[in-house]
Amino acid sequence: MGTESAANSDTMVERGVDRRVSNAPSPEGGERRTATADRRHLNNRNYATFFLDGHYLGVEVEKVQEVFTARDMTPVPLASPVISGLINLRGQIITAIDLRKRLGFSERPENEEIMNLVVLTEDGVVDLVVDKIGDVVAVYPNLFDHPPSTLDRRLEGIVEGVYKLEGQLLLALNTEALVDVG
Amino acid sequence: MEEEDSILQEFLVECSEGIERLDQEFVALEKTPEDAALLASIFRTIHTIKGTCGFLGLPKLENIAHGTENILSVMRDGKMPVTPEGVTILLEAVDIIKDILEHIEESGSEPDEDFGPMRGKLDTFLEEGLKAKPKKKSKAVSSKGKTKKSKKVAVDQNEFEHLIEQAAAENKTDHPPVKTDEGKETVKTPPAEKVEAPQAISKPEKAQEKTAIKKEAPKRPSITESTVRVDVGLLDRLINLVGELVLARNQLLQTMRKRNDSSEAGSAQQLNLITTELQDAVMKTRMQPIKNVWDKLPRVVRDLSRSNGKKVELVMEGAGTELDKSLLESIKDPLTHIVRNSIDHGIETPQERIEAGKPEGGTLRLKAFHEGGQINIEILDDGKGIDVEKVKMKAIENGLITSEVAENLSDREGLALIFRAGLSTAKKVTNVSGRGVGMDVVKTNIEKIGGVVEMMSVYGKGTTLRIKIPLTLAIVPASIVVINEERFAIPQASLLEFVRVDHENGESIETIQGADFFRLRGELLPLVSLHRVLKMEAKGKEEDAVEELESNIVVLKAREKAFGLLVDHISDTEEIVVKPLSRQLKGIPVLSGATIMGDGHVALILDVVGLAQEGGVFNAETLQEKSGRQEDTVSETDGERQSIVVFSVSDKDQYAVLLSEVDRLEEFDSTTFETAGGREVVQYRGGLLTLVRLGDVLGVETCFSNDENSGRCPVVVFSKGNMDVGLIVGSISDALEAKMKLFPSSGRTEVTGSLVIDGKTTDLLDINQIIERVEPGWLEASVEQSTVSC
Repeated sequence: MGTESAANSDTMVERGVDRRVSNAPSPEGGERRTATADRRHLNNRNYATFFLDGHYLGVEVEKVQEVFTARDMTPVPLASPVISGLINLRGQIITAIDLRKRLGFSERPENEEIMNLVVLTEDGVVDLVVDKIGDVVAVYPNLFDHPPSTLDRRLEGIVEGVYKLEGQLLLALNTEALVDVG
Repeated sequence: MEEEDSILQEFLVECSEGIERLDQEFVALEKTPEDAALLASIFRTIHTIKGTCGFLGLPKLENIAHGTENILSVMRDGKMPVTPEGVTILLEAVDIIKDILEHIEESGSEPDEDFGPMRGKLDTFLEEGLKAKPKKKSKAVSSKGKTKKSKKVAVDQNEFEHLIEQAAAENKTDHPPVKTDEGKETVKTPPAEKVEAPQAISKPEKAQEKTAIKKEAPKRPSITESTVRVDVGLLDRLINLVGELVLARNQLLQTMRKRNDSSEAGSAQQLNLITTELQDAVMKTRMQPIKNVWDKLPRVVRDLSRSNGKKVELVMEGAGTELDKSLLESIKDPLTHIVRNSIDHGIETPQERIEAGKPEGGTLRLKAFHEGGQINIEILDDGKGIDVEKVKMKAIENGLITSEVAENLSDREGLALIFRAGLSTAKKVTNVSGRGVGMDVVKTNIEKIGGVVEMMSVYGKGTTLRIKIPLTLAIVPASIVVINEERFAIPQASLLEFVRVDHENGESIETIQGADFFRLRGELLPLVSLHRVLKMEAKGKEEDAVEELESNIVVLKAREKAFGLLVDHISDTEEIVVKPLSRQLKGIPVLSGATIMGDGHVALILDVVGLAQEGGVFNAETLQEKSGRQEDTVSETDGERQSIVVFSVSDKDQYAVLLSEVDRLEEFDSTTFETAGGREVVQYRGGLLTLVRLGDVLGVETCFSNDENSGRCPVVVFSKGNMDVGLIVGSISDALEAKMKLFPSSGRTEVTGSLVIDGKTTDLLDINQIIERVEPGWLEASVEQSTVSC
């Protein structure tokens, strides 16, 4: 797993998401990334970014298996409202979570296009339904900040922190917390 | 180190195979003591275990195996007869060997326990046996018999040589696991005749060696060369892959059908055939004969019948019937349980049997056969059968059913009570009907794997238990139903029939108190709307359209109870591959999994028991259970006159509780209400009375009948043990005697049922249920009290 899996994911290239690193300032230059679990935000990291209701968010690129557009989704009655449904991903049935609902954003207008971001979690792969896919960006520790205390309590644990990129903020999300739907 | 581990592992595998056979062989030996081949086979198994122990440094295991072998060797040489006592002691030793092996498997070492006494027991038995028949006390045997620790090493050396000789004779290397292999193969000889057919796969380089040894070992068929041990995990993967292939094929066939292209139809057809065959073949890899489970039973039968002083002959038919390995595992315990029950309680003692005009020995017959894509297993005994009346009486006594219900039960339904939990608390039942010890567990286990259990019994003649289970779990036939254009799969195991309501011929869905029913051949079939259970609104716009849509009923069976599921359409039948739901979707009782349909769409699989539960199908039953449980109060109330207290909460409703449950009726000034521990209380009779607002519990607005400003609240006080709870109601209207004709209520657990009082529908409240919800521990207090009063 790791960067390779994302790199091998042809779907990403297909989607026109190139792996060009965005032009965020890089004081440490091209220093080698040595990501450790505890001090992850002390190192340069790559984020797969996406948009939700005007917000700019991202998950670690290593956690992303692929990006695709689902044609067919089976709703699951009686399930938590954040569950969009089940999709068939090459013979594997995966659960789709509507990130707008999961994060408490406004509901997506009907008939608006969606994108599916398939992430790897401890319990297998889960599909995250987002509005639009962005680039993969490299972020640097000096841009990191802890989540503001005024942040919605529901997002506690889900938002690991904020990267203050030029012109916009990138919310760094924790995938395990995202898919932990009771 | 690793190699040592793998040797040990292999040793354990070999041993377990041999040991499993031992039980059976011993029992057979007891019947035919003069069967030298059988004795020899047993001897070899034990001998192999003992021999290999020496290599692996397992002194305790070796010690027991050695003692066992000594006896066997004397028996084999005809110096001691094979007696039931002998077999018993040998089986005891085998049990210890099993225990030790299990311990080794778990922890990698022998247990700390001292098995010296067992060895002593074996040696004593041997000495006594030899003394009793001292005619030919050959040197070799006596030295073995007297073997003490000091001599052990030397003897072992002998044994090693013996082993090596044996191995050499069979022209194999002297690698220990291979030797154990030899043991295994030779022991397998009797049942393995079919393998003797020419094996095309025999390896050429070994062929020469083979011919060289043919003369010495001509009888031994080569099982190792025709079988391969495969990890079960790999087989599971294969099955999953084939499942995917089947789906891919279905998708392809569907597209082909749409395109109507004949040029590709040929190859698609070919693919279709191959896939089907492949599916069959792969499924077979997991198939094992039921014999693997049955083999344990002769021992169970022998031990039990001996200890009960009964004579039982075990007959097994269709031992070669194959079923999925995982299923085999799941029926092992239920089957053993049933067999034990049959001997314990079904088959009579020889004397009883003779008095009843039956042959002295009872017969327990196990039958297995395929029928309609299912495995049928029957357990028949010619014992005393089950007295349905006694079962009913016990059920009434235990509060499972009311006496009125019992009267209306058919024999078949009465017999089915045996499977109900609560009738199975061992002692209580044994002195009534005998049967039923844990039969509810048996039933649950069988149902868990999609099977059904039926029982038939003729009092005095015997009992038959029939278990039906599917061939495999991975791929199941399912019916596809549709609501709101969405497909759902229902496993066919619980499907009874499809019914279409014929509106034109006057058939219709009838409603009693919000619950739908359909008259199916004169019986009332409770209906569950799939729309309602799944909280999916019907898409039909007009009322008539909805009715038109809801004319399709799928009749299902959950826990022996039939109910109808209302759906929009009934689609076709498909073989589906069951996939579990992800963690995010666990805990939805009506869904048991998901599957991918032929067109790639994901469909949910419905859980029939969950549907019935959510739809309130079991409510009528719980009504009986509930009323039965409160033995001294409600059980005699069905249809009888009973004193009740009638009150209301809002102005629209009316409720009742049994007067016998009410302690006092009071009225409090709401200004005297205080809070203690976060709850409303009032000072009452020198203590604190916890108050519960019934309106809050039931979710209706309380409407006090008294003048609003007076602030007086009517309160019904209940008392159990040393707990007091006051229920605040809107107004108390009456205490009266009413005929307790209860209609099952729709869904609410706190309502026992509904009755009509003065033309007004009145819900009879299950007061304990309500109080328990706000005051946990209430029910326990009530239990305490009832035991005191008994």
